[in-house]
Amino acid sequence: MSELAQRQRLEDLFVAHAAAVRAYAARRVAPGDVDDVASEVFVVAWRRLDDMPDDALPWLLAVARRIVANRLRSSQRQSALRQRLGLERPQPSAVSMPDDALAEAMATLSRADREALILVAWDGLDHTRAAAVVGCSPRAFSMRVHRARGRLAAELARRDATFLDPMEAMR
Amino acid sequence: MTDLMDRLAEANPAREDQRPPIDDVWRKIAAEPAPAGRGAVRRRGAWVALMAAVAIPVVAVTVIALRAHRATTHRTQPVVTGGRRSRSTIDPAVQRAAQQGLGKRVGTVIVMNPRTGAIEAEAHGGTMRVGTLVPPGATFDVVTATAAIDSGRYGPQSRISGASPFGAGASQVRNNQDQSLGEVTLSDALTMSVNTVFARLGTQLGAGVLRNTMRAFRFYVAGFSGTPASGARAGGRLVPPTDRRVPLGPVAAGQSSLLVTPMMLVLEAAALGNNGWLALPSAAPRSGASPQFPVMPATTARTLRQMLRRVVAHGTATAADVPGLDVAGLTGTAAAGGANRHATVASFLGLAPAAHPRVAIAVVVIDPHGGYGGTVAAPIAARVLRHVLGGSR
Repeated sequence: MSELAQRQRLEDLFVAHAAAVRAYAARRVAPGDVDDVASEVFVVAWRRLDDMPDDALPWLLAVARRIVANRLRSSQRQSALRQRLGLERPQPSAVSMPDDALAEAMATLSRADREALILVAWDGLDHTRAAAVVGCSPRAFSMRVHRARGRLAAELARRDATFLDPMEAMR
Repeated sequence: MTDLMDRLAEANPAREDQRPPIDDVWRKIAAEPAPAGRGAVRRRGAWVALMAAVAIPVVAVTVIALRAHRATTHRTQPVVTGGRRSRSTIDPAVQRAAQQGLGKRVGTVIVMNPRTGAIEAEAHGGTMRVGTLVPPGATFDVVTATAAIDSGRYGPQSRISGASPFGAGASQVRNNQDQSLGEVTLSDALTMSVNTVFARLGTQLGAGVLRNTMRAFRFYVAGFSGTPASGARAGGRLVPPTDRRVPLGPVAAGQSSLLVTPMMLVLEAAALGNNGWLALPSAAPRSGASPQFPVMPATTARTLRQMLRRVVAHGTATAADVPGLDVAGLTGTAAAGGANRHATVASFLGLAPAAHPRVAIAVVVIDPHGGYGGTVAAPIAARVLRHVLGGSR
């Protein structure tokens, strides 16, 4: 591929997927870092254009996932240091949700459970593509979603007496 | 629990309405080396260039040698040669789609008309042959589910424990990544491919019931129009699950030493597609009606088709979905058991359209990279089905 064709390819990828990648980042990092994470994803895509599968979005989100994880790790290290030095209180999660009861219930789930639910509900991926993002088999992912949904429903039922999941209620 | 997922989707804090500035991307890239090729080698100095000068010819020669080897030994073999085409049920366009879908992979694609048993395409790639036996993995769940529903003791909404592991020793069955589930419905278990549910079902139904259903599907029936015997292997022979050497739980979940031909997979789909009757498969045109054998009641077949539709719409087989074609199906993944420890047998059996099937399909791929039925076999099925049904409507 000539450099011109490569540039065209990257622009095409950007047009098709940049909004989804940015939204992915916006749900996971502080507002000031969102554009930075999203553009970083396409820099990695540029470096690895040849490795890109036909269905590019799960691949791009998997890259975004690693970048977000690296940032969280380094910011956690920093804030732990700052806390030890007495400079800063622990920050609440970077992302705020309008539904308080749901946000609290989500916070009680494990990171893997929360991620599985969010990939489906917010990033709008089916189980096969979402499994490609987290790097597990589609069926392992389906089971994770199933269990996470059950735990979230149970947690909500506990916190939020007005909410009754119809499927749970039928048991 | 859809309401819960809707509520969660509603709380989405960021929608896709904004892109990052692309200038940022190009600015960051400007500080990067070129992605690949000669530019990168030049920058890393003469030492790397020297290594490349040695390595590239070696790699090139190896690739050429491997290609030549594959061309002579692993050629894709159409079952029908030019001279017989006019006297065959093989549809050249469908056959071409099947072969293109398979590409250079080691595997088999079979397309059949479930009403007549007419084989419309049969493509074999690599070392796969007509009678090659492969582990069916979770595609076998459809047989166990048929036995369960046929028994009258279970329906799609029956709840069965998905706790993992189930059983002990040689008959132990685990879920994927040993995830333990609570009670799940039979339909959900099929959708998510929950091994332990089918192992439990099999042991609750008993070996006799499972064997009868397998017999009805024409497992073990050697010579069923070219279908060799399929069944559990014990002591070097293929034996029914009533043999006491065969661990029932793993067999009911498609594990253990269970082996089938790809033709068996397409027959399973075809029996569901033909309202519970199995049409004798044949690649030779028949005058008059094709012989039909009863497998299950029509209501059972319809229920199972609806369950398989859910697997494609929401489960492990979403990659087989083709909008408008109403595809139903089931995936399976099993260890290939060869020298390559990563290699898997990725399979898919399916039907379309689910309400009134006109096509039954089986895809089996031996994947050296450890791909799954849902990621390797299902997309091939989607491609072939799009070709078969997309064009004829």
